[in-house]
Amino acid sequence: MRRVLLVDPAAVLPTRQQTLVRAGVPADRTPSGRTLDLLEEAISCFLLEADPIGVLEELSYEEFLAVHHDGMPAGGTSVLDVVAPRASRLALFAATVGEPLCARIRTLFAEGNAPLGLFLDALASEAATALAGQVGKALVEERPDPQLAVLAYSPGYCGWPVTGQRALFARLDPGEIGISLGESALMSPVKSVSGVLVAAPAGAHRFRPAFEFCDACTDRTCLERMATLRSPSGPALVKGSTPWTS
Amino acid sequence: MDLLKELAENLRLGEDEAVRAGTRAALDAGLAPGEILRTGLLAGMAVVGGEFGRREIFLPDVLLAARAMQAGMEVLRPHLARDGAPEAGRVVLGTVQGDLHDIGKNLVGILLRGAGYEVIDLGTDVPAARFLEAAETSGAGVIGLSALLTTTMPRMAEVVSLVRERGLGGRVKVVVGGAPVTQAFADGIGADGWGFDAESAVRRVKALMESV
Repeated sequence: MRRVLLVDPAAVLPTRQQTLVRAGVPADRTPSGRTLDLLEEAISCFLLEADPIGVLEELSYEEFLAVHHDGMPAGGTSVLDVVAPRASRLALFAATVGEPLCARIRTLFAEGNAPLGLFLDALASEAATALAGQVGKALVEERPDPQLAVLAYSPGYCGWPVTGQRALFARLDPGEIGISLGESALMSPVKSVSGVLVAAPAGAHRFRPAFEFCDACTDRTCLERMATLRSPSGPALVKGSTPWTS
Repeated sequence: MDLLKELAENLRLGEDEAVRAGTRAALDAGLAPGEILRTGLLAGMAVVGGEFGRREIFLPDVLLAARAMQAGMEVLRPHLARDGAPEAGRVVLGTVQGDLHDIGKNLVGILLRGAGYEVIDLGTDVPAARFLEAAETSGAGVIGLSALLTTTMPRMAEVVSLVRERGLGGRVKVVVGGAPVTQAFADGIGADGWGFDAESAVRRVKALMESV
């Protein structure tokens, strides 16, 4: 199954709190009035400029294994070596909030309007993450199964090197939705996400973060992800994934 | 309130149009450009820096203040040049070759300008040699390098090596930063400094500038 999804910008609009935190305002502090005005201006701009789109392609475990293997260094392991074998369904995906929004952010900084640029950048980054969730939802919506939780795993995280995107792009070919990969494995538009969607019982996503690659990890968002899976009767889609974004 | 105190306060509040007008008014009143810079604009930014350090204000407020600083500097810069009053120093900044991420680099540039430095921003996807050329031609004391990908981090080492090869190590310092960049990586490639975030990068640049 291969699907292209056009997503309403409002469906991936982050909360104000998420955006403020991403823009450097701690969750427990009250932002200034001017900060809140900027946030509202950025939200209006986001709803006008964002053009979210995603593509997903379901594949077998064996096919995924080949893509993953091609993207790994010799002898390397990633968390997917543990998680993917337990998956009920797997799909490669890529999604972007669109080049016009990225161009607008660049222009704001170039014109010296960094305060607004900062908020629009924060919105775009959070929206890209939310977009991965929307694409994950699409994976299971035709055959819903309340026992399955969908999480996105992306190159650049949890032992899967960012160069793994080359094999992923070769298999998925997301040029159809306007995403390309540069020589250094950088996606364009910059506010894009890619990876594999793993639909599996919640327990399948749990692991002990004691891999060799965990030593170099500074954010440990895997713990947040696993925390969202606590309830066995929780939602099929779990937000807060860690796809490759900036 | 005297003109420079008012200028500093408007800068603290991020009122860019008021700062632009206040800077013009201070010049019209016959105040020396260097005095307007030190006692008005930089004094305001120093208050902002203190509030930011104490977590009383946050990055968006600092950027608003930095934008106001820029508004004042646009008015003041031609007069400073004529007056021979020096700015804090020059910094060459850019995202290394193969990388197009620029938010971190932009934030560092804005905060550096806010602190009174002249910033030569080379943009993104910058080859190592261009950093050196820019530093040599501008007389910059610091090169700031940004990377957000593990695949592009090695480009930082190329710049450090080139600085050494050309015998500029005593005059030009290299500061590195970006999400995957660590102190250990900076030490490993022989960089002179590492910025954990934009604010710490600026602090590192200041310290290095004083040592150059």
